[in-house]
Amino acid sequence: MYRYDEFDDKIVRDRVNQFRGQVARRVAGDVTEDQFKPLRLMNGVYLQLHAYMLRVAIPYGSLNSAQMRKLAFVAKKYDKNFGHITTRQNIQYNWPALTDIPDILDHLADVGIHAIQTSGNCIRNVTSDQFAGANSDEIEDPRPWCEMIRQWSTFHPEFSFLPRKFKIAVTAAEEDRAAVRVHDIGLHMKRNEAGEAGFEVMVGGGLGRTPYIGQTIREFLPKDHLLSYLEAILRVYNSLGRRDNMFKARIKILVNELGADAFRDMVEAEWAVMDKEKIDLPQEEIERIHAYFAAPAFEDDPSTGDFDARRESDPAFARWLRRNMRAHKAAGYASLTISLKPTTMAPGDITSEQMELVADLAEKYSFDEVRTTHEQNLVLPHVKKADLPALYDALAGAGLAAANHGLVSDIIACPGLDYCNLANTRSIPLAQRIQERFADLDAQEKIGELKIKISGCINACGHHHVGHIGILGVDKKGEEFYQVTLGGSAAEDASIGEIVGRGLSTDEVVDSIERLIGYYLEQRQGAERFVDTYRRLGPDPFKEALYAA
Amino acid sequence: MAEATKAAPKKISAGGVKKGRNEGEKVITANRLSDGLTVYLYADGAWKEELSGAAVREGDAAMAALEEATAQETAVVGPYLMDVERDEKGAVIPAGRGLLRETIRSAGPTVKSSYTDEGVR
Repeated sequence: MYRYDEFDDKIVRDRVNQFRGQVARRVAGDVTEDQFKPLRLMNGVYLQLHAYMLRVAIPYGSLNSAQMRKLAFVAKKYDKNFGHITTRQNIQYNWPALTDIPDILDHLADVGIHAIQTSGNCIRNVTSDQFAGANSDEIEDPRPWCEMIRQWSTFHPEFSFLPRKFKIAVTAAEEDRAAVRVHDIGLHMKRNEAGEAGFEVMVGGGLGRTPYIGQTIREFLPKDHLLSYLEAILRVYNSLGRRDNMFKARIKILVNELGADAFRDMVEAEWAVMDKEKIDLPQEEIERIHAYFAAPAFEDDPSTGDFDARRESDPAFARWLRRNMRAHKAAGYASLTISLKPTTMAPGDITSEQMELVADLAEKYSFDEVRTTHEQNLVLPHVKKADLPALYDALAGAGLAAANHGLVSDIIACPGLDYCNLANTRSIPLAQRIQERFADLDAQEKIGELKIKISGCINACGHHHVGHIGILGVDKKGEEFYQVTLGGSAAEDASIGEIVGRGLSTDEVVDSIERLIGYYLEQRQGAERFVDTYRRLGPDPFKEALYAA
Repeated sequence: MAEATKAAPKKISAGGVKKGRNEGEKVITANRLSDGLTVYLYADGAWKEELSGAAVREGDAAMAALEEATAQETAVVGPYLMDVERDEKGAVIPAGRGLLRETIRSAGPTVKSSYTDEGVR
């Protein structure tokens, strides 16, 4: 993975020192909160209901064990012994004191991580496929391109004060695990007829109060021109995006008001006159960055040891493999999802001790690599099958072996009103009630893949619009209600879920979800997933099931 | 001649993105600058983490106290007026449309929010 050089290190250290001075001046009263707020936000510091929240960037969700241990250290020393993995593959701390944050950032800088690009109207942390570099179905590892975007966008002078925040996702596999169609820019690596690799470029996707699926403005962009084309898109957005109304300021509004064709024409016109050589990286620099992501030294078809015997004899291990193991491009290896969705913790939460354990296991079994996922889980990307029994035992001993990846209890939930200053309703307790209702793993496996996503307000941080079942919390005269959307997807079959009717009370909602799932099980044909059956039958019978009581 | 219409209570911020009106009993709440914790203004001018003994004000007195609190830039961030009432023992408790939000602010998250032995603050 990418390692900071002395220039990167100096940039991060300078930024920490600058913020230390800003915090000192704020505490001394030399700057007001109005003056300080944009400065703290540019360093990932929000003020939530009970405390400050610090969001730390994990570029494209890639960490090494030293970085994971440092995150654990920060949680233990400066927070309440846990961190929270977010839908942008970042980590958030919910309880840091403002006056400690410069020290926290100094500690993080020791291992090359920071809070830059985690807030503010800039290009945010680039996200990607959590199995990058391990997939058998990817054209190439997308992470070097993510890293190029990271370097290009960091403190880009032209794009530091955009009309609104800007999110880019990259995938290079056929299956879209990075939700590229619901990003401001989605990049999907493909091959052209000549067999060359390039990107399909999608713009104007997004969630929030006005959800849109991104539209393709270029079927094939030669990959070496990635940065200049991104710059052309950003220039058009930066000059035409609305700054008078923050609710209409995202690029999705611009693209949909202009129309994708007109937007494409503007981007292409800008790109045509651009001095591309000044922006696109020279071949040697592209190769230099690629070298950081060279594949680990996989053994040639290593022995699988006790793997098969344990799978035969231990049903719990076998179930964990069925749900959480994914095929790897190298024979004898696998990628493992560590579910952060046990019923005992909030979705995405992980304790310091668990982080330390994962760091140890990554070092021992996965070439020192850990990934965070936008579905708020972790991945060890490169594990020898022979090591899986020992890995499973270690994870199970720390409450990290939930065998529910992709199932009904693997819920994305925003922090909601338990933490968030913007939320209308709570999300985590509802996620936990649904998890408890469907606690039986046999029943979960029978239901199959089902993506439930919960947001506590219309800002949609819990991605409810693209849940197979989406749940949006709404405040009705001070009471919590939940509006259900059906048929959404963030994957390659991306779609925005449809609102099916009135909001459900806190007491009604879990029973209603259970009826909905029961109806699906009755109607399912063959290997249909919930969302497939919904698409075949349409909303009406599901609506009837939802409100049947 | 029709009776003069009484002016509606002044619109005010009610925390986060919420809006309300300055009617009924209010307490001034904010987040402490240094650590962000939820605090309440007491009659002696102190900011404390417990809501139960906070100073209750109404109308112009509440607005005047809010103005003074807003000037305390080095103590707190974002002070606003929250609706309150008293329980049977006379302790100040949250009330009104922001009841759930303010209950969570005063009592802490309703889910496990600390994985240490010390428990929730």
